[in-house]
Amino acid sequence: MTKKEFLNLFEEIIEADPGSLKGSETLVDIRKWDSLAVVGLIAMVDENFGLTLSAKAIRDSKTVADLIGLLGDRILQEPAGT
Amino acid sequence: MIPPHRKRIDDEADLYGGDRVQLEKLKKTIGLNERHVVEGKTTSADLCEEAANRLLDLLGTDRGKVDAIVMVTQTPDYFQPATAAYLHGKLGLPEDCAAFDVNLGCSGYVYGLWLAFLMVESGGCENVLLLAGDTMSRCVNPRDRAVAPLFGDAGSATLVQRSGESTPVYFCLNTDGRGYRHIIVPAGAFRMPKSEETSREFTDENGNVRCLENFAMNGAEVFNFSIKVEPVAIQEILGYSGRSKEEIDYIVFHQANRYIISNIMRRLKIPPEKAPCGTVEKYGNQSSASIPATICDSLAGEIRDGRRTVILSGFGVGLSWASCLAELERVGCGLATYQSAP
Repeated sequence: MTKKEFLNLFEEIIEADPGSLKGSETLVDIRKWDSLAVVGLIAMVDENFGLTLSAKAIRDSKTVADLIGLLGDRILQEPAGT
Repeated sequence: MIPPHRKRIDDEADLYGGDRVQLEKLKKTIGLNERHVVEGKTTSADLCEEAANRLLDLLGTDRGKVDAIVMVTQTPDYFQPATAAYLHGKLGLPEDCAAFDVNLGCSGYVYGLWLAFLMVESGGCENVLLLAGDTMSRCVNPRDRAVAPLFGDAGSATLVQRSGESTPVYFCLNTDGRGYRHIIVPAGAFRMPKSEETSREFTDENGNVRCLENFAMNGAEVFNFSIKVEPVAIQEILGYSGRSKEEIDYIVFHQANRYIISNIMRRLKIPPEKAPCGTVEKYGNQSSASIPATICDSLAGEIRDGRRTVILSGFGVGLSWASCLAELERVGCGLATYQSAP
């Protein structure tokens, strides 16, 4: 999955407009980043990557980019120029 | 047995800052809608007492022949005596009858069944009355939106009797006590006795209000726990019993919420219609009574005649989880509404 595809799925979870996230956003500034969104993220990652994110790792994340970082190389680097 | 008083999440929009979109999302994904809760000082024992009276009358069971009464609850009437002993007296059971409580929640019904089956199987008992019920609404802070809208109250009664026929039943029971903090009422017992401090309300990082005497749950940890252990538990009991997924007619999970059940079923790759989950939106998460409530509410119409193979599986506080594979037949009764004044 590319970073853009991940962001699109994450936008659905936090009810943000499609394409509005860049990745640099701070999680506490996202209005709909609540306990329900955390569970939504866990389920989304489980479904798409077969990976269980730990609740603590999510809690320790400060930005959307930190969350993406939890997935390591499962998130493909975007081709240059995009 | 469910209390008559209903609470509707639609009437609690204030709890969500008036956010109707959020409310609709909760209804759709989590399956929250209505829940039945006790009023006043009605207890789990009151609900279970009426359930037991109705069951024993319905079956025409001689109360003098009940050899044991097991009460599964985390909301007892007293620290001492056991609620089972109190109910033993109320139900007019004989003196040659064992009575004890089991302190378990969402996995408790399956644990109770396991005990009752063992007691009958060992030859010591002919009739074991298993009661399972909780009044979680009396433990949650009404301003804690992470838990208050989830829980309903209910009590159940099940009679496990010796029969002339041998039908195998399989149980798998598990515990992970390292996760004890994730579902907890921290204060009020002896580790942290009640004090001025424990009754003081505070607001957590998500804006939810509670005090240390209230029920608290770490939703993300519990969700992770559930989708991790439950699919394994179902596979385990299938392997243990030598059955395949296809041979199972129904899986009755503890009704935590629709989202958790659908995620477990997705992982198991079993069609979701095999796991009834219609009770949670009508009655809420009924803790130890959710499995019997779902059998009565969702399967009563389905299993009128013939025999079905079912898996019952509870998971939650402990952390504890338990599964049972059994044959179910002639599920006759639906859910009844509690009427007596305590």
